[in-house]
Amino acid sequence: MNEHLRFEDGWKILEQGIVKCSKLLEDCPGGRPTVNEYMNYYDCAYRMAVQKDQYCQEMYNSYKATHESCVCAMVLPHLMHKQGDLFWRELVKMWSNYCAMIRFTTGFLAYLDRCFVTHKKLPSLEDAAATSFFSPVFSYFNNEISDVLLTLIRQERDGCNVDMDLLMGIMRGICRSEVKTKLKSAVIQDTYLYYSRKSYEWIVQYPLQDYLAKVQETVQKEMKRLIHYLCISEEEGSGLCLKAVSAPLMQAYENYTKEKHIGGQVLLQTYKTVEDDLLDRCSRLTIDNGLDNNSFSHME
Amino acid sequence: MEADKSGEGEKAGGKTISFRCSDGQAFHMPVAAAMLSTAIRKMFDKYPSIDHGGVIELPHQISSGIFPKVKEYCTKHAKVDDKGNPTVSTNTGAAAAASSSSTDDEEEDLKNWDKEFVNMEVKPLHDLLLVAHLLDIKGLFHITCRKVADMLKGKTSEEMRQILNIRNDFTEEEDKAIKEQNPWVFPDPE
Repeated sequence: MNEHLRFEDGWKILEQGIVKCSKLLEDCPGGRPTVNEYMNYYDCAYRMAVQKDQYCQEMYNSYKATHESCVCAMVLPHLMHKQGDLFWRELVKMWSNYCAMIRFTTGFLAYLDRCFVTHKKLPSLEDAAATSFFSPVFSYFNNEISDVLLTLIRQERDGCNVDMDLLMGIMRGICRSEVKTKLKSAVIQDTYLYYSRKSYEWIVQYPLQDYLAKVQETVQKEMKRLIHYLCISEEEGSGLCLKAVSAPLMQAYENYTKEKHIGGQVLLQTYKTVEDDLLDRCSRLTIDNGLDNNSFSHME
Repeated sequence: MEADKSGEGEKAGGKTISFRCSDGQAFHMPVAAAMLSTAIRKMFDKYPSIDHGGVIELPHQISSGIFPKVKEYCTKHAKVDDKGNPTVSTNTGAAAAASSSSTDDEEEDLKNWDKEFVNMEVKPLHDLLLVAHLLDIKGLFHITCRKVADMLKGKTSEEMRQILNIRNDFTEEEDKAIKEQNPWVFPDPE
């Protein structure tokens, strides 16, 4: 009974389990493996990982590939030809179903997470699964997904009523995946454009002293917002805030004072103090990756 | 196969989970005890109704000969009896402060119990270690590994082979070469 289990034979069993669970993507009732099927898959993965010729790396790679092919076959068709709110609702539903699916599939290969992934410093199975979902979704629907997320962030920023649980569920999922950098640059760029527009409204709307106070308040708020949305450290949040928020707002201030020939040195000095304070806080912070590990719990 | 007698009437106490070994023998374990296994705990998260009469079929590596030992360890460390009822009284308020020394005593007792628990032959110890690893029972894995390490401490390679029942598959030439390359490991017999 303890004979060597070849990768092809073992993976065939595990693949059956993953394919069975993938029915959860389409709300099919037969997607939940039974307790004993679950135990059988767990045992199969364990045996392949601890036998003399172990297949940890092969299982890890196949796990990612199988999940990605499930997403391509069963998620992407649901998102086709949809835009705006319709696209968003479908994306949320598919991600929620996918989270239900990977609750089981990560369980089958729990031994990999416990030993192999930790030892090799690889992304956890949940992180790898998030990449397997969002990588093809971004490849095919980059514009749609970026538009819908940036619109929702803008709406929330403007005080509109946004379902934060749903938004954060998706954002945290993306932040666990390798697509995070794409999203981060899109959010930063959009934030920059948003405050470039706002700066021209505010500079004529408020007296200069109030404008600078508004800048200070906005920088603080936006830093919290970026940290929250992008699951980043306070240090990184401060740095991004200087680029995406302070820069456009202060550019408008400088342009305005030059244009109006206002000797705004004193006011500018006030702002510099705020900026120096921010930079000082940056330098005193310790580095951590700022990742929130609860992205999947949101959707369960 | 006859079911584990200690399981009879357990449902009346705390909640229990039923397990069946590959030879068909069934065992009941209090949920609190089973939760010491990370693998079972994660499964329980996914199947919350597992304690309503379902039976978990255990992998073939877990024989009915060794599972009672696993159950004994988990039940002891979960501080529940066979029926799933707590064996340690939970004190509150002023009584809690007075009980801190008794908690230390309990810890000491448990350590001694663990030492006694792993006093067994190599074969069952090996089986127990494998089950602890498979089901991810950290405490049990730790004490079984420690016991094996203690058994091998200060032993020669030949003695280790005897303890672990490993056949020496080196040829005489290989053996000689290894000894020449690593003289510090093989001091001349006095």
